[in-house]
Amino acid sequence: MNADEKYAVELKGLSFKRGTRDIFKDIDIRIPCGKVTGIMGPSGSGKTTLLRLIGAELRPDAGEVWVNGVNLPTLSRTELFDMRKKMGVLFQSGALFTDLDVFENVAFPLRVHTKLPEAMIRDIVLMKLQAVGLRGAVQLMPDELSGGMKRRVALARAIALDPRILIYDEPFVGQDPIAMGVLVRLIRLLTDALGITSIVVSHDLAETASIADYLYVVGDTQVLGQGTPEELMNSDNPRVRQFMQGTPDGPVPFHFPADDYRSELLGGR
Amino acid sequence: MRRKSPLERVQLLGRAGIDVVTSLGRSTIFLLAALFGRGTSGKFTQLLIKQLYSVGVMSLAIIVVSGVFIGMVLSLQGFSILAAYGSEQAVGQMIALTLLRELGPVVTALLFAGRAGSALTAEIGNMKSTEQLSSLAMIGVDPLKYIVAPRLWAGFISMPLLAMIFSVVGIWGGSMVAIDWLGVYEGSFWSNMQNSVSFTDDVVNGIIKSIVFAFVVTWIAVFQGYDCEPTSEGISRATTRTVVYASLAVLGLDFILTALMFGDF
Repeated sequence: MNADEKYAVELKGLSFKRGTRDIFKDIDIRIPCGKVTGIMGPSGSGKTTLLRLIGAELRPDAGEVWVNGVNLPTLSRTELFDMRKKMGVLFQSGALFTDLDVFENVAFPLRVHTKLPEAMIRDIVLMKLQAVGLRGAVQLMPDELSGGMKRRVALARAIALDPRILIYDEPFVGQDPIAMGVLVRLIRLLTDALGITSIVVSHDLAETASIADYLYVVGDTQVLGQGTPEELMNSDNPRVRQFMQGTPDGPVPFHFPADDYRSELLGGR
Repeated sequence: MRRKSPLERVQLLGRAGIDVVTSLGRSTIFLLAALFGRGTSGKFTQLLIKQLYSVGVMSLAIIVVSGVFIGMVLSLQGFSILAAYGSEQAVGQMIALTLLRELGPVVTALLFAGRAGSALTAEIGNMKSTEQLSSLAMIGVDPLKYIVAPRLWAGFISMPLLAMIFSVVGIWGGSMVAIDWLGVYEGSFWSNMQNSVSFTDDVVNGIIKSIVFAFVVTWIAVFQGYDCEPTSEGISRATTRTVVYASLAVLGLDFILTALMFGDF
């Protein structure tokens, strides 16, 4: 079986378990090239696990993970690391290297994977930092940056090698309104200007829906719904509708499964 | 709490056995991949020098101070015992043989596990919990080659050198106490030592011991960091495990190596 060239990422019949607990059961997801695709779902629905499966940090129990036309679980360790040069991941914490300053963090992928002269590395780093608005912070260490700034430096690092696919893990968590607006604009801008494929894994509905061309809602080991943000807002599926409208009552329970509340409280006496 | 039935106890024992074997298998694959896997970074020498500094040079102070004091104590103890037989002139050879054969490699390995080993585990564990290892992997750089391999080689190289320095400063500390304080004749102190210490039997065997200890202690330290649960508690438990496992492994291996090198069978 081969992958369709219209899609940057294709998950086919993917299943994944943690211990005996199913996280995904036979799901299919197709992420089109050059678009912003949002993967949404309630907390604990396995969104970050899905991201790690796409990056081949985790191996699926069954199914295929096609990225840029290659089925990742079949690659050797060396081939996998080569493949990842064409992908960028923005981690939730930023995951900057704490022993390197901002400049060296962004220069890191260039130094490791290219033989560019120092002057050119400097220019590229400054251009990437300018794109995220942090050219002035070039000499700061990661512990001198705020959470939002760390994530923007991490974004500059993620785009240093001009990847074909950029994956964002919960990019909007803990951002102030200004940084949030900047990030939303940046994701859209980077996708349109560089022609890259963006995958936004998030549970922030309004922000993700505002930039995504296509959305997947995952939960309960399945893809609950997919479509444009407008289509999902008017979905017939009550689980999708509850998530999209943010209502507390509905088929998606707020409480983690537990014994009866009253009998548990009284049982301790 | 309910008492466990004999069958459940056997089950628990079996599970613990399987866990130990699984962990040994994982750590062996980890070691082989780090040492012999294909490299992804062209800056290995630079990374190795940085680690040699933080693992080796930064451990120098504790090794030198401990070596001097242990040599001085050996001299005091040896003198008081040997004086009872009128053999106090042999204190030099006693200090040298004890340090070269045993205390040099063993105490250096124990100090190294406490100082550098725990730091390696905590550093790698912290990189894991802050997603720096994942981040490296997603940039296309193998953390086993970039983070683990330079630290492993730095430990392998620096610990035998530290053990040699420990023995040298220990002998110097012992000579200070014996000659300058206790009044042992300098000529007999050094000539007894020269006559009784064999390069192949004592010095080389001591170096072989310290190479084996370096290998085991560094392997345990980096694996515990890489394999730890990425939480504060997980890192703390992994750091403790490094010191405990490394110390026990060093003492156990020391007995086996001593039996092989110096046992008459």
